Amino acid sequence: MPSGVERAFRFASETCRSPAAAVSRWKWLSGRKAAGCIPIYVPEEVLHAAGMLPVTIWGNEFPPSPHGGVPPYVCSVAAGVVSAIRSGKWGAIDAWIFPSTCDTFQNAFETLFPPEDRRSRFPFVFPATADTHGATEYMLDRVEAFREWAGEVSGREVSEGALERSIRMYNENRRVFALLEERMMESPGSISGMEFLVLSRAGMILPKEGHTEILRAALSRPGDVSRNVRAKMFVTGIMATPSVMEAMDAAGAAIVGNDLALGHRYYSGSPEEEGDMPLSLARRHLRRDPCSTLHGSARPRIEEVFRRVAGSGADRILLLRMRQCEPEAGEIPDMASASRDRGIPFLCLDVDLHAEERASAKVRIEAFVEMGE
Amino acid sequence: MARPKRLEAATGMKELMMRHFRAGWLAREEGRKVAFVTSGAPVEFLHAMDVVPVYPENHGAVCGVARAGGRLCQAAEERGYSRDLCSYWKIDWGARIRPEESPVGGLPRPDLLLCANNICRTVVKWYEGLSRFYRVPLLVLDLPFRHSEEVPAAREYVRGQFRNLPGELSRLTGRKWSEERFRESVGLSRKASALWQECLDANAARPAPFTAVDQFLMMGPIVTMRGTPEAVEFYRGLRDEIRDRVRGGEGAVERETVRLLWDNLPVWHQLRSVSDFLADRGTVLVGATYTHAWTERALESPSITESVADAYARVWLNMGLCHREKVIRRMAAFLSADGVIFHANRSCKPYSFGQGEVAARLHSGGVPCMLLDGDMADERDFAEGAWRTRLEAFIEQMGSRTDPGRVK
Repeated sequence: MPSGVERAFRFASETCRSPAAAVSRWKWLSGRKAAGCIPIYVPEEVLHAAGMLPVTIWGNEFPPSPHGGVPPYVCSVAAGVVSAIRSGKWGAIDAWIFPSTCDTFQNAFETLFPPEDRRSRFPFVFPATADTHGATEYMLDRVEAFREWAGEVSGREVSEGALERSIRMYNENRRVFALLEERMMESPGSISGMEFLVLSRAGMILPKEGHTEILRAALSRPGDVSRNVRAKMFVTGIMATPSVMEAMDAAGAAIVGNDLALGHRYYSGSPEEEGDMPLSLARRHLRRDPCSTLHGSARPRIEEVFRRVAGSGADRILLLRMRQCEPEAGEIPDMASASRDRGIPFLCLDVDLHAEERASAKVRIEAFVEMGE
Repeated sequence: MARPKRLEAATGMKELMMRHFRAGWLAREEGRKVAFVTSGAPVEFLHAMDVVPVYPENHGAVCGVARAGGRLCQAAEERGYSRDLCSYWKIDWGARIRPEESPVGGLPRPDLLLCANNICRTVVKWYEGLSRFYRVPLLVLDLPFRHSEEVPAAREYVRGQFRNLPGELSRLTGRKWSEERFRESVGLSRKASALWQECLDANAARPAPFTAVDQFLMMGPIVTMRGTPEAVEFYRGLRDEIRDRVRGGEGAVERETVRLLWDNLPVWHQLRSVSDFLADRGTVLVGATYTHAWTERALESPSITESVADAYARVWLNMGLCHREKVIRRMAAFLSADGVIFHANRSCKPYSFGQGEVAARLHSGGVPCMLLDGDMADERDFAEGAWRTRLEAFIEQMGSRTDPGRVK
């Protein structure tokens, strides 16, 4: 019989295998609504406080539809999102939130829904720069508008008290996720790459209360259960695919730190739990860890990544470049050059959610691991 | 082969643009400050402080016209930039590595960078890279994307940044702010933009006095010399020449039969061949959303800074697709266009993503549309045979249903 730890991993894994089924099950049990969040900066606490289930849609929940009509210059995340919505596969989602993460998603908001689709949608156009004059006031206005919208969609007003409870709930989830990352750093190999992927992803589908319990169960696994670790990797990029994680696990590479959007960037940074709650959410957004989709002059992203690499004890950097993602692609030469200057082996691997790249990922990661031995 | 009639203004235009590129190099020699600016940045603030603006995007277009884009993109790819990145960005980096490939010898070193994200979000990352490379300060203006109605908080957010801009520029350049020069520059921008609009609107005439390909070539000054007397002078001359053509019933293309609109940036490296191909078939591109975008200007207002901020916030690429669809319909009706060519420009995602949907909506409303894949400046992403075949078929389709002024 599997232990509590293994049951937790299995549940997270099943959730990731069929996110739509997990969402439908939650709706059936709760009788409440689910909101689809386009990655990655939706202040989900507002939706949670409105009694809804925020679900981050990464575009790999369904095989791409042949009728998607997605142009070839669009990244596979956007292509997957567009294809799934157009082919009516996300019927379990009652409302949608489109943050202004990138140019593609900004445009997608107005074009991808067929005219007969009457589901409510909110374009969350947030400040693109963290330290611009007036950014806090503007972001606060958007959070308040979002709060009003969420109340209308759910039929439940988002009170200050409810928002405070949701922020505390989310912060607890972030704290436990940070413990997981700490465990991966201190006991390399104790959590495999694949396990990390499903634990990260499951938290974007399941209610945070349940996800926190899963993370706690995962942390109850003894920290000294270590695999044969041949390389300690810091992984950056938008997201890892199962093929990449399997290849890393097979090659004996342990993730000791990450800067993934589907990972650290999503879970890091906690809003204050006291005072004005919407303002607290606005400030969280503006004080986020540096990200390719946000501009902040105070903490340049490349410096921040290397600061974290140094702190994690990583001996290599793996950059997973989402094809056609311009915000991420622009920093690659400088990141590669900074790695060279510091003598840290660096590999940039292209990923595409809908391409079968198992063999090439395996070969390149194996070679990368061997390179530094 | 029939070719579109050449405009006299084209001769002066080339010289004017060469002077513009030289101005950046000259400024460095004279000890004046040079700023790299995005095409949607409020350059009038720089004129007010005697800072010389240089446009890397325009440099990308110039390299594209000279068919140097592919080689320069390749140079950037050798540095580690990915193949699918914007070709303007790659050309800019490529010319830093191989300036001899650029028809203007590359760009001078900047003292500061002014980047507005109203044309795309990609430019922010591009300019962050430039800031790291040159170790110069970067000022980013954040102009939130507008889907439908204007959000008052967004307007105030943008206005606040524009009000702060003189102080920020003074701090970075050590120059004094001149309100008088700023007002003068805004006035000149308005004039140039109004003259440019007069030129574009003249194509409502039949036959059309000039083509959208001419417009692409003539738009250099409205992009790079906004707020200067040179731009006003140039567009006054162009407007007069076009007026003369309209008075004389002189069209750009002989035996004009089909009139089309163009959406997106041009294919810079194929301007002449596309233009000749169309002219040879009695087809004229009567307008383009890209050239039309530069008619946007600050309204007369007691608060000039706020008026300028509002104008820069509503530039074409900062507006949602429903707005763009409305404008295309309006343009098609005004210019009596028979159909629309959508250039699905691999390098410009904000311009291209959603074109298919806009085209489908227009098509269902009786406006024939076609999509052509390509890249604005990288000639490696251009399939000439496929373009010719598809254009030929589209024109034939238009020709068989030619009924002047059908699109209402």
